[in-house]
Amino acid sequence: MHVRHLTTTVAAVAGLAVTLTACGGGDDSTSTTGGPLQLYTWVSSQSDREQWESFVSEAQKEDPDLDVTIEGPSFADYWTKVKTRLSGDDTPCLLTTQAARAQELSSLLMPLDDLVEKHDFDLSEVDPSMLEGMTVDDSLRAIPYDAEPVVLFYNADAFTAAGLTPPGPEYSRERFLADATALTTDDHKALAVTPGMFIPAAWATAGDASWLNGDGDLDLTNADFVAQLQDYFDLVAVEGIANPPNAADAADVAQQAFTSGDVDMLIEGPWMYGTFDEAADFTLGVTIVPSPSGRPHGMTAGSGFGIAANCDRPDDAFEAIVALTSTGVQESLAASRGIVPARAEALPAWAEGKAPGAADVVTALLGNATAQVTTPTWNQVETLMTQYSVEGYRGQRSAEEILRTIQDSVGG
Amino acid sequence: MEVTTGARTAAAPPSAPDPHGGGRPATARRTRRRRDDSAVAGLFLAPGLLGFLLFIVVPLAGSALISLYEWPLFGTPVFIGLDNYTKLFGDPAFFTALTNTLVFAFVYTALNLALAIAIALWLGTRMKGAGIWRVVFFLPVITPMVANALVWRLMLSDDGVLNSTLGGVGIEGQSWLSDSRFALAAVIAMSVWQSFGYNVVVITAGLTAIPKEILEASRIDGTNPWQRLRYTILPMISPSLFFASTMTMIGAFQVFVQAQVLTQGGPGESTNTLVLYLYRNGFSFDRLGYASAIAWMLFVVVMLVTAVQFAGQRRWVNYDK
Repeated sequence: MHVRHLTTTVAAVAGLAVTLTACGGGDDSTSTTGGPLQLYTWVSSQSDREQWESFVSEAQKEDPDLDVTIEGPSFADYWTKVKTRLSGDDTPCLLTTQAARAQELSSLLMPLDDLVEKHDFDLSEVDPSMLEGMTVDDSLRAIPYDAEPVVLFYNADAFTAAGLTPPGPEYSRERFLADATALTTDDHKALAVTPGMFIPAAWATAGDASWLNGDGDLDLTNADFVAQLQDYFDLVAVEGIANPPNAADAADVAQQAFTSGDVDMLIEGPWMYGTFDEAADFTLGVTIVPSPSGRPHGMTAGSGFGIAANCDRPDDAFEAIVALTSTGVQESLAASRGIVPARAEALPAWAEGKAPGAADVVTALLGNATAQVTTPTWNQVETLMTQYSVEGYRGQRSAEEILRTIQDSVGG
Repeated sequence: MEVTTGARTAAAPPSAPDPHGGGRPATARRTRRRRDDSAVAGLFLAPGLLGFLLFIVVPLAGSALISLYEWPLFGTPVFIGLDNYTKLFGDPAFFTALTNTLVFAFVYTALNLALAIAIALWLGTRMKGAGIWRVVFFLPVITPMVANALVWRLMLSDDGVLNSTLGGVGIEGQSWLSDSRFALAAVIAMSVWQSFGYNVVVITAGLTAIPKEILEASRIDGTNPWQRLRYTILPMISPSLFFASTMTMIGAFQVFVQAQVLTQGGPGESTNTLVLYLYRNGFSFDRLGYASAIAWMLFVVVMLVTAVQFAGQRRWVNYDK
């Protein structure tokens, strides 16, 4: 073969490579050229897609001109992919975030304070704890659409059978422990626990402790938080009212144990209500996460819509968010999807079809709620807690030892 | 082969005559032809070389570059020189992950080879159904690792099959995956089960290549089976063993799925491995620079271990037939 042929071949290969590269650039419906706004969010399943489509279709009743397209990866992948998605071209304008992840995504989310003012958006109607959760460096990064205080689900039939009074909007630790001990036998436990920080954080919040110091920095080793966490570990290691979880157990193991009747109580987010009610063949009860005084102190988790930091249609995007988080949309989603709405006036829609008293419990918790405010390093805290808590529940390491290790690994 | 000749000529010393100078016509023709050959050789090499450049050299260089930055997935990277490496050497979790990985690699490789040799020898004893057994042992290799690990997780969980079986015969079970004394051993056991079938095939191939005359001669010389294994069979299959040990060891350093699925690196850090730690730093903790530094340390460790294996082969690998 001659050199000329070689040159031709190389040129052809290079040309093909350039063509392929150009093909990989995606479509041209950029958010910068008008047209529909892209919502980048988690779409783990068809059910998720339907939820987001419901948001949009309900919001279109408020704003018929609203044009939003939906795309996104699974929930687990979302937190990584949203960062790479915003690094490329053709970036979406609308994003979703959880309050617990707002710190982590803060560089991606545009501060909304000026837009709130410019569009006369009334924040007083929105759950204050969730607004706090969506605030990073004193600026609001997302408008929440739900405010879900973590609750204690219980098997009301098991309580009645054991001669116990099912708890309502007040539940003290003392009474909880007495009930749990009464429900626990040699081959049956009252409670199920899961590795990780989410539920222990709700338990600590109920005990008025926090994992942050006054400046919002990570402070896992403060005495109050350590004591609360040790209390929670001791439910398993000392009181024996729950089996210690396996190292790689995800939340579904404990959820399955609850709905199948293997355990009688489970601390979880209220978004699980519909799933549990459907799966369980017992009467589902809901109460607060037990607190030392018995009075509610809820930890709210929830999500909201934000605007990408590099979006150049922020006004359009904010108007879309106003429509997507309106009372009508939240009422509809509360009724159809079971989300606890961030607007209190939409809460009656959630109460429909729930057990009597469930709405009272949620209202009581929201009356004294703290959002799950985190730090940008929270993902690392969660991962390490998943690894180490297994030993805490088995009494092999103390809460102090574990929290000291995590605090040292993660830093401030 | 013409291509090889051309390539070798292309690398000839500068004293070769200049084809455009005043050399003899025959030499000029030969040189021109050799130049054409080198172009052909280049073309044949190009696809492989292009792949090597694109998928090995460029990512390696890119990773080295990223390791010098604080590099988030979104945002502007900041050049920090060797700070990631300095931090790495002061990070206890890194050393725990390194130790776990080294323990895993050596124990796993040793058990894997011992089991593979034993099974391959057993299958070579003219037993009935050897072919079926070979398939049975190979099945885990072609089954997705995640599926295998999930099944093992169910078996080894506190209320899993193993503890139920042990309980049935009056032995109290253990938290195989959730007790730091057993977790790494459980990960190793699952990994050996998953992959020793591959080495059974490699070693079986080595065994079948041993000339029967040699084994017969050693029998006539009055050796017992153990002596034949030690002084005849093992030296004869040493190239297969060298290949199997090197590849198994390199694979062992990349252990990830087993730890992720069986134990998530826990309890504590007892099963955290370098690749799991690397992955989490890069894609969960948003520290691509730090993850790249870990990747480079892993690369260095694997290179060193492999280099030691290659250096040591002269002592025990026998290529004579």
